[in-house]
Amino acid sequence: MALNKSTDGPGQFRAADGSQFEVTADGSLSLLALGYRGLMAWRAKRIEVADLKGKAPKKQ
Amino acid sequence: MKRKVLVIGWDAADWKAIDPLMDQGLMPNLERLVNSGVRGRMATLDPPLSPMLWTSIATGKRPYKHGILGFTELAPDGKTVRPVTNAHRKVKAIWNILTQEGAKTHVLGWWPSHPAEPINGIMVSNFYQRASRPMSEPWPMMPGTVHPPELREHFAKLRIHPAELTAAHIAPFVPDFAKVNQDKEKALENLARILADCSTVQAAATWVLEEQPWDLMCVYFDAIDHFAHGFMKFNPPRRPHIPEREYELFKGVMTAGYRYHDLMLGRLLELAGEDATVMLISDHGFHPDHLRPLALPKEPAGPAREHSPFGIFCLKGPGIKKDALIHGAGLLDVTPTLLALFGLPVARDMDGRPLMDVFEERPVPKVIDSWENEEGECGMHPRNAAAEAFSEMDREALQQLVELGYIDDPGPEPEKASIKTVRENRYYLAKAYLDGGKREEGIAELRELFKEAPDQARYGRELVGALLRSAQLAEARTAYDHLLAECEKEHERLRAEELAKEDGKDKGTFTVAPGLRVLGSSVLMAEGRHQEALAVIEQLVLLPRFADPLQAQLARTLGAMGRWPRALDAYRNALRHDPQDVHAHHGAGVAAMRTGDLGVATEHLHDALALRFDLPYVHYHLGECYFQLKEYERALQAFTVCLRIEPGIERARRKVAEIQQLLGLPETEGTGIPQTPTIPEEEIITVVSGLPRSGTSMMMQALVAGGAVPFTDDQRPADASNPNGYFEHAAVKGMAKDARFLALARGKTIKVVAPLLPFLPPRFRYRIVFMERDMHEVLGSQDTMLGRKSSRGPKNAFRVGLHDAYTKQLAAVDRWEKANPNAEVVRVSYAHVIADPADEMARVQVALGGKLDVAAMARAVEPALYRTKA
Repeated sequence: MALNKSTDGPGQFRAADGSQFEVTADGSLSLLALGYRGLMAWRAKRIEVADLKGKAPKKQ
Repeated sequence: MKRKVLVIGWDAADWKAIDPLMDQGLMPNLERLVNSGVRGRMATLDPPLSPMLWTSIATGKRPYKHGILGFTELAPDGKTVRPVTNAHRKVKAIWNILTQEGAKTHVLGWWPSHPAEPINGIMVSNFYQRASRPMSEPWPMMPGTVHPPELREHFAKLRIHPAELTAAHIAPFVPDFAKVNQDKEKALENLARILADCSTVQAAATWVLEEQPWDLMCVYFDAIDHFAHGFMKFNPPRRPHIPEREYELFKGVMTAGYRYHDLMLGRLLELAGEDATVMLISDHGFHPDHLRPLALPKEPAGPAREHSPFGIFCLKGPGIKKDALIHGAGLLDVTPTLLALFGLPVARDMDGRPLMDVFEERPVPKVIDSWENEEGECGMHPRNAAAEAFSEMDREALQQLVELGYIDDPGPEPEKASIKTVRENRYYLAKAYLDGGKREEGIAELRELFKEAPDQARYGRELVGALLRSAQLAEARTAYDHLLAECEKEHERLRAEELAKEDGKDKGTFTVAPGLRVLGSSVLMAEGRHQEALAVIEQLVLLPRFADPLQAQLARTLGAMGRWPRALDAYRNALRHDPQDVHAHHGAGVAAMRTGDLGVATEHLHDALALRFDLPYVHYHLGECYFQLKEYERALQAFTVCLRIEPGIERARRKVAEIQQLLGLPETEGTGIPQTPTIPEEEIITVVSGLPRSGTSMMMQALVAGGAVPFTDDQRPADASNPNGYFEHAAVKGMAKDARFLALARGKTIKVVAPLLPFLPPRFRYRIVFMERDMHEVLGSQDTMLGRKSSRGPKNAFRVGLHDAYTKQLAAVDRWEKANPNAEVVRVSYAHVIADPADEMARVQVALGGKLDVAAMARAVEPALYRTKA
């Protein structure tokens, strides 16, 4: 799971080989293991999904 | 090139659990780290309690030097208990030394590190990650958690609340999580908390690595230990006492936990960069196999019984060997090794040493006396400031320790809890003293503890064990009998309680706990009651539960009796039970050597060294094996390593000299063997020994004439057999039971007959002048003496039985000499002394340090007293 340091926006990571890495609202262990960038991307995705549903999750 | 070092701590990680996972390709990042660097086991310390261990790792010092002594401590009010902080750490940690040297240093989550120290970098304390309230409520951060304080809000946002986690996080650990009744079972809640905690630390660590300059970064994860205490019992294979349902639910937790750590490791390695030096360590292991205890003792820190004695050590980086194994690493070596990596001096007051075998080219480490005296801002809290800065007890952290079983619930009576805490920490201090070889300090503390709280059997058990190891037999016996009486009292109380119950049944007399009986057998052994000791052990090994765990004890008992073939069998059984039992490998090596199977002996001794390289006597015995095999170069190497580790083993030094002579090699210089440490003359006890009537009184008289100070009470007057006096002390006769008086004999010369030599306690250093005389003359002289004393005594009759008994005693002395490196023995022929007193006394004088008057010694010999001739 070699991911570079940048995100292409909430819910996406670009892996070292250029492929996209999908971030879901449920999250995953892989995202947590990435550390703060994974955490931020997951939280952003949750907000995005909640906004779509019209209900924002509580921010940390 | 400037070195960057990332130190990652995985509490309780164990190769026994990791290797099968790596073999299956389930931990690819760790495998990459191992393949690109060195790996080895890391020996833990006793007691294996994490706050003490991680502080020893960070300071290179034992607990009695660094001051962290348990899981809890007293708050500044002196009345309440709180989780341990860094307030009582008395010495600099590696991050303080590097701060002093101007290096950018970050520390995350280290245990204990609250309140965060003002180092040259970021410190986030171990109280950072714990969520103490529901997610719907505010989550305040305890004051002192983050240095510098301006980063406090930033780090607060990186915390993950357990309630944030979803099924996607839990399912890899417990695929059938839906079957867990969360109203009744706390397992998933605990799992989520552990996962959230370590992910919080990972989030903080990755931010620091990405966003901050760094030279040293230390990050600590406690999750493997916490997963293991909760779920290792469910790890495959299932044991009969584990319910099938729970087993099926939780059998994958440990594997998932390790795999998650591997994922986190991968990210840390990536962020650290290819050129970084990375060290991955654990403070102890955790049995994943048949060595998992069936039950834990109901005592504080009881869960530590689940720990195994070897943690992990990995290191990779520029100038570090690749795909290599190292042996003999201990956690005290971490800080000295880090200092060597940074090219900084190692301090003599540290208890560890740099692991030089990790380097492709061994650097020559600089050495200073102590970093404590080096001036400069090091980022430590001013004395007492840390204690006061943290006045609010973190009940949540305390509760976690209670839940893990490490401490008892303080309950509603804080003062009682504070007394317990102080006592408990003194117990850990005593154990740390014993582990560090400071027996007298440890025994002194245990004596007090057992006096204060005789109901605490573990204080008594530890005291008896320590007294036995320091040969204080009389006190060991008294303490053991006391311990037994206390246990019987407790049994009576339990029985009365049982009878008082409404439907209580009389369960009859409680039996003495097997552990206590094993200890009793050790007391018997020390008292020379070998057969009785053996009977106890042989009875216990018949019980299926103890058949395997007691094999090593059985082997030791048999070995002490000289029954080497049976001892070897028992050691082999012990090793089938625990292949990592280093002492069983050592014992098996010695037993095989004594039975003449030198090939098997060397194999076992090498196995012992692969586990722990720092044991000098294993090297010594390996040297002995090679010497017997006439493989002198290998023997020389083994004796040399033995002396590098423990320069005081005189016997190894003599073997080195002997081999050098055999091989025609130059003397010790240049072989890297340190000089013999100078032991002050006033610390050495000179002992004159031999069979009765072998010339010991004559030798005493000669030494005294030459200037030696005798240790004698002059109670036995001179008589016709010894017209110049006996030079004896009555206390020697009781030495088998109480040898404490020997402390008064330091710097003096004492007479001890041969059968009592094995009772000389190992804590003193001895020079022994051993008189050898023809056995017929000895027996004849004794007969003459007895004949003079009593008309009923036998006269001039050679007695076969006594001859055999004395021959056995001399053999026992030989065995004792071989096993006791704290004694230098010079053997003196009685006949030579009579024939050429000046020559023989000159030899004795050299052996005793060269300060006696040889002429006076020689003059004191009166050949006229040589009356019984063979």
